[in-house]
Amino acid sequence: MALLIQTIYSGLVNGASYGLIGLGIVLCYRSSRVVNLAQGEAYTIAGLIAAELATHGVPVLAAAACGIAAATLFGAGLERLILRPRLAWPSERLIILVVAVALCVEGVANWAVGPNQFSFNSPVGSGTVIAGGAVATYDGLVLIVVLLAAGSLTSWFLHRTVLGQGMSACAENPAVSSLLGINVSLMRGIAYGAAGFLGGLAAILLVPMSSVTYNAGLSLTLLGYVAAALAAMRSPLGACLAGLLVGLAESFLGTYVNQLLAQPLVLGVLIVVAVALLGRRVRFGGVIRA
Amino acid sequence: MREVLARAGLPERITARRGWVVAAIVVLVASPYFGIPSWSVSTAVLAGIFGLAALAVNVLVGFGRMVNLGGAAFLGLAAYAAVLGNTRFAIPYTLAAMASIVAVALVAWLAGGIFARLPGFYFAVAMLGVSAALDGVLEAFPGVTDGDSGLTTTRTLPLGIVTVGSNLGWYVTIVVISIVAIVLSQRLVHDWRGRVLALVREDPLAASVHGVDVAGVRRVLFTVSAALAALSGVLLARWQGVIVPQDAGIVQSVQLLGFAIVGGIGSPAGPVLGASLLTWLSTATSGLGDVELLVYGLIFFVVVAYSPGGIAGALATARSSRPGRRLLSRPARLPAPAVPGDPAGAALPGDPAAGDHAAGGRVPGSEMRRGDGLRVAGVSKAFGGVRAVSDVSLEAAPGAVTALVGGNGAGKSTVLNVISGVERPSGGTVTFGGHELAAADPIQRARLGIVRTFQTARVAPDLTVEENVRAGAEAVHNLALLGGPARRPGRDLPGRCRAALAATGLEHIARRPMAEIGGGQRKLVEVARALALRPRLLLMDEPGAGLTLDELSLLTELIGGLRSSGTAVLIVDHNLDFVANVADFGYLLDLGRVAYAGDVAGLRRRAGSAAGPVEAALGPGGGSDV
Repeated sequence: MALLIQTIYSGLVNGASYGLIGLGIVLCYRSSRVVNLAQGEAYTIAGLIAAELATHGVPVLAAAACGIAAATLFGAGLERLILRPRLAWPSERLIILVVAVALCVEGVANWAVGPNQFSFNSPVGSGTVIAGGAVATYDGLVLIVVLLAAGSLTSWFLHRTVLGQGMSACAENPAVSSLLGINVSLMRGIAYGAAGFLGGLAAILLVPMSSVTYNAGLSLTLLGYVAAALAAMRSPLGACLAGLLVGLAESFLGTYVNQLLAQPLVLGVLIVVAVALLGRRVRFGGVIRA
Repeated sequence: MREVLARAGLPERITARRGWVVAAIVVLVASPYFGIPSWSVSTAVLAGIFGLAALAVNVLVGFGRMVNLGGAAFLGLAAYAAVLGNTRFAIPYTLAAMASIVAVALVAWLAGGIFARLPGFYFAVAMLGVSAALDGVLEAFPGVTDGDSGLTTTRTLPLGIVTVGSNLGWYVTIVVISIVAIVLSQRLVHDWRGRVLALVREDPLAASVHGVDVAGVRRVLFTVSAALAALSGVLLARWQGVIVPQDAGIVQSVQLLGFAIVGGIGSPAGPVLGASLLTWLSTATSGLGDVELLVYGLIFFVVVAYSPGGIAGALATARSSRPGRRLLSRPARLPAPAVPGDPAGAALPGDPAAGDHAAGGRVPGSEMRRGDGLRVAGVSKAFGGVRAVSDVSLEAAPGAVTALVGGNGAGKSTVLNVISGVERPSGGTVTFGGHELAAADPIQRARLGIVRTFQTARVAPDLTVEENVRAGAEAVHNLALLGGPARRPGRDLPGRCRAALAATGLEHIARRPMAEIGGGQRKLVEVARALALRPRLLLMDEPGAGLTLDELSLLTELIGGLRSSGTAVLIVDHNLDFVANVADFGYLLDLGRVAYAGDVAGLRRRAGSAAGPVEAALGPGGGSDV
């Protein structure tokens, strides 16, 4: 019983980070039709900066704030400096561009801090809750709550506010949106900044429980993308729940099947699911509609 | 001379440059002996092996525009299979390696049935996932794969009678294999294959309407790419003496894509150049701490963001900016546009004899009795809750021009899409020449001789006017790119294309790249592409829109020529003057229903009376349900 609860808990905690990354990917996609494969790098940036500052004596809360600020800046800067001048590019080239950005970030991180693992003390505090023989930490519980709150808030923002609906309109038809008086660039900037913020938040809450390395970004992006794809790249709350689901699947496979095989299995199964779901909708080798 | 070169698929310039190319290859091959720091023979071997993998990525990304973020997966899979077969089951390495390459190609062929259909980024990320998952699986079975430390093997390459062991031996082997791989991968885009691939790459929909099995072509590319990556893998394992899970992982995959892009995507030897440059840099910077990934990432980013053609592209631009080159590639004289009936247009659809000849030599299944035209019966199509067309019935007879008019949103284009197979009808039947078309895909329709043009011309901007026209005709003759039921283009095809170009008055701009051509002429290129196919049924979506008066009268004559050759022509338009000029029969669509069917004079009265076509389509209080 304790093992079961522990499995569920750790699945939800990991899943929450996938959900936050997935939520960021959905935000970027909905505002710009770009699959932001550099989203996981916001996590790396925030995690490494916070860890570096904390080891140099900066109070944990301040270090965490700096980390989140840097991640937000990274998201907004990615949009402003790199994507905005090139949004007319075909999507294949944009995807290669963001992958190149991701590789640059990993390169800088590797050069700056080397190949070691980094961590820092939790800004939330190190208290634990014991329930049914299983141990849950404060920061883990906070992470799950933050995910659900972020998902609901984003969902409300996108669907119930004028600003949010404007953001969706930008992606559907940027030219018309801007003629209608929507500041398309500002919308994208906000979306990418928010995505960076969410990635940073995930790092601040998750890294104290585990660690971060220079190359954590791409594989995290991949799992976040799976969550976003399961939500059809649309629903913010859907991406959060899908992230939790991915985390749970990984955790159960790890506990009851094989620790090492959990992530490959999750990836494999989900690729098959995504392919099967899509395969039916896609015709003419990739063109969905005329 | 020009004719000979053209038949060999070579522009004159290339033969003149051939000497330089050979010289460049000799210099590059000899370069490890020039004393360039860190560019030793052993670095060059590694670069060459990665170059093969980069070529594999290039086959997908450059030839098919399928972003391959999982190139290392097939490399790693083949390497592990070959080494395991060799060490565990004592199979000679050469045999194990060849078996792995074949097996990987087979796996890719099977997986390609689904993967090759995935659109844009879904394919990219799915491949990234495959790469990550394979890396994980290889680490998860340490009993078989030795986990993180990887499988070790000997650093020799047995090649039947000789065993390659020395660095020099490896180098010679890799150079030979690379040259063969470059030449073979260029065969994939040689001549007609290149033109059909360009159409698939630039406009999959237009390609499939011309009878190309787009998913099949992509699947072939996927398989070829996997086999090439597998070759690279079985060599890499032996050269390194060890193969680790990360060799199949996502960082390796992204690096391979970077090699191809930095070198120059789509160019023959660019990927090998890119692999050489980056492998050299990684060796040269290895003493400076953890900067390898940084140097690598920065170069990758700068090339993607600022020089998308890569090294090869930059060299090509430098060459083409020399004055005069552009002019040289154009024909010197500008012949007057020919019209149907001219001797130049002798092989045109306007000539009944030519039409009959075409019917004799056509693709199988197109034999059809005269009088059996297009019959659309009770077709409906709904998008979500919106009925775009309901219960539409119409006919288009061979040797007649039928018009379908109506205002915006009346459902004209939907009807055309249903007939050409772009959309599936919700109900009703479409037959042509007695063949039921409801279940037929665009490819089968193309085989029946059904061709369509689009409202805004769908052409490949990378190709010239002439190449675009040829690509369409070649596509229908080459239903598979490799093997399969591929048919070589007919001997008369170049002549037919020239005649079509002459008939549409495009001869003088035949060699111009599509990107330089204006909107009206683009539409004429599409018409020429259709004429070269000698269609049995030609569907035209607003052919007159955007044309000048001269172009319009040329088009009218062309359509008249098609009529007398026995082609069934169906025109969708809302320009009543143009329609009245060319059509024999007309249908008026109003809110998705047929409001009038009969002769053109009546159509004009009906559509022009009381309300223009727009008002007619909207109807009293109409438009509220859209």
